[in-house]
Amino acid sequence: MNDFEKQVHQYQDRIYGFACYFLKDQTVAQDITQDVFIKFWEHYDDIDRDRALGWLLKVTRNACIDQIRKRKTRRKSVTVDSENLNRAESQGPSPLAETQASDFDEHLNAALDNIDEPYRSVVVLREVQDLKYKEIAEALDMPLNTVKVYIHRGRKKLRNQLAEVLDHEAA
Amino acid sequence: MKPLDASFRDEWMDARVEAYVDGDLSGEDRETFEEILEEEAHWQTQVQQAQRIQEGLRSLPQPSTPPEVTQSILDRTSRSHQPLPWWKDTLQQVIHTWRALVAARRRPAVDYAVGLAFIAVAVVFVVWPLTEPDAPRTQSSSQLQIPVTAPYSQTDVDRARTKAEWTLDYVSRISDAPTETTTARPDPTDPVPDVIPNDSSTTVRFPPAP
Repeated sequence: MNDFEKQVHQYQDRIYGFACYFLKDQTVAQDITQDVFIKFWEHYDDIDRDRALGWLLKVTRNACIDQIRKRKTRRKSVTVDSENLNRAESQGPSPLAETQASDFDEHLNAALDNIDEPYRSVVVLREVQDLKYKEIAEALDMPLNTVKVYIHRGRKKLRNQLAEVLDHEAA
Repeated sequence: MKPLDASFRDEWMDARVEAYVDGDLSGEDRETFEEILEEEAHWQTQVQQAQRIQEGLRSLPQPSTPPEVTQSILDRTSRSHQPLPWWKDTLQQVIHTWRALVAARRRPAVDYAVGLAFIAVAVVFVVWPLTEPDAPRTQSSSQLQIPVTAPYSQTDVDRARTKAEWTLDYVSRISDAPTETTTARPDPTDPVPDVIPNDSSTTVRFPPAP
């Protein structure tokens, strides 16, 4: 196994997982994962190995944002019901739906979808994918302290959204 | 810093719940936060909810890349199947080393080390050969031990070497115009001295000029 292949195996789940959480679309996440690693291969000689994960996440996030923009443009031009469009785009079941998630997990996923960028990215990268602050800072081009602040704010947004669910759960 | 009025206190507490859960509050803020936390059940609930959300996020499933996606990536990148030729591999390693050095130069200690290395290289390859161009050559030639094989003896080899040195010295002297006036010029018609050096201190003496 050569160096490039090792890095593919090392980082592919993080890239694919991040794209899945970002897009909620397994098929598109697979395409993006492939495209990101092809770009990684094309720029392989220019990328510092220690910062490879940051580079990969940055490219993945940009690709996901592009994808969401395209979706919005398509929605506007075709004027299709957004729920139907989501179903049409997603050929397979969501990776999150594949597992038998609890009610709270479903609410949590829904709340995660509702919080805006970059809070969603930092929360997913830190809390779901367990990345280090430094890696997130590199991926999102942010100072380390800003990353911490955004993580706290992102989770506060989730707490506000899930207050009712959590109160109900506690009762 | 202790919040004063109730509305400001709520805002202050609400902004710090997640930082408190993560243990990121500074000493004074943490003390104030815990003081209010003990008094008010509402904030105790908020802290519990923040902890529950964090646990929930950390237990969310991590999607695994389907094997066909991995295979597709590796198929599309020839690098995984075709090993690089040795020269390209070496070139890439040199480039990577150079980039690593450039990246490391952000640290002053590395900067100094690189500077010293450049100076050392300059001294070895530039300054030193220019200062004493002949000395090392003379020394090395006198220390030269040519393996002797039949039909030549060591004496024959030494004699030949002496003649060669004499000739070279003569040629260099006649081509060196400024030194011509200060040094005795050997007559080309004079016989080559038949001196056999036994060690490195032996020197060749030219016959006096006519």
